[in-house]
Amino acid sequence: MKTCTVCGEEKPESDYRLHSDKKTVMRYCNDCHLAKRRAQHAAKREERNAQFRARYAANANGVKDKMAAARKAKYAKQGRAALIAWAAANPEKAAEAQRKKMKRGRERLSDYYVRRLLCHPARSAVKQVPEILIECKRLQLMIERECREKR
Amino acid sequence: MKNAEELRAELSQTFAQLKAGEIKPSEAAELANLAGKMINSAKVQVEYYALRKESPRIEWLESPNTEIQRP
Repeated sequence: MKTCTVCGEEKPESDYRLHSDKKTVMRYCNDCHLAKRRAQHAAKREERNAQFRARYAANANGVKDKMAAARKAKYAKQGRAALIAWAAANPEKAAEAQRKKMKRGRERLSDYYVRRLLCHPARSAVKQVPEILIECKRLQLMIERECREKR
Repeated sequence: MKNAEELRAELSQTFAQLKAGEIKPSEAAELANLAGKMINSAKVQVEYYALRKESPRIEWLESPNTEIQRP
C-alpha cells in the first residue's frame, strides 16, 4: 500500500503509474495523475488550437491539402446521404456549420452564396441558375460594396 | 446592353473605373441598381420556366457566340 501525495488516500501499488524508467512508482495515484494531465491539456487547449489553425492556414507540410483530400475521399465513399443523416442527428452543429459557410460565402461572394441570393433552394423551383446570371449578380454586389466603402 | 454578357462586361468595366476613382460612387451605384433590375427580371423568367417545367431558350442569357457553336 502507498499513500498518494495529492489526494492523501492509501491505495495499492497497482493504482500507481511507473515513471518513464519503468522501475520507480509515481508519488501520486493514477486518478490524480490523470486529473493533472487533463488540467494541463485543458490549460494549453487554446494555445494548441491557435498553433494548429496557423499551421493549417499556412498549409504547413500540405496539411490543408491533405485534409481537403481526406474530406473529398470521405464524401466519395459515404455520399451525400451520410451528410444529411449527420445534419439530422446534429441540428445545432449543422446550423452552426451552415452559418459559418454563409459567412465565408458572404465575405468571398462565393458561387454558393450568390446562387442562394438569386434562387434560394427552399423558395425557388430553379435547380440550375445560369452561370452568367451568377457572375452578373456577383459584379453588382461588388460594385455596391465598393460604393458603400467609398461613401 | 443586349444580353447578359454585355451586362457583365459593362459591370466589370464600371467596377474597374470605380476602383481607379474614374467615376463617382453615386454613378456606379446607379448602374449597379439598374443591373440588379435586369438580373432580377431574368431571374423571374428563369423561375417562371422552372415552375412550368419548361426549358426554352432565354435569348438574353445566351451569348451571341453560342449561336455559332450550335449545329
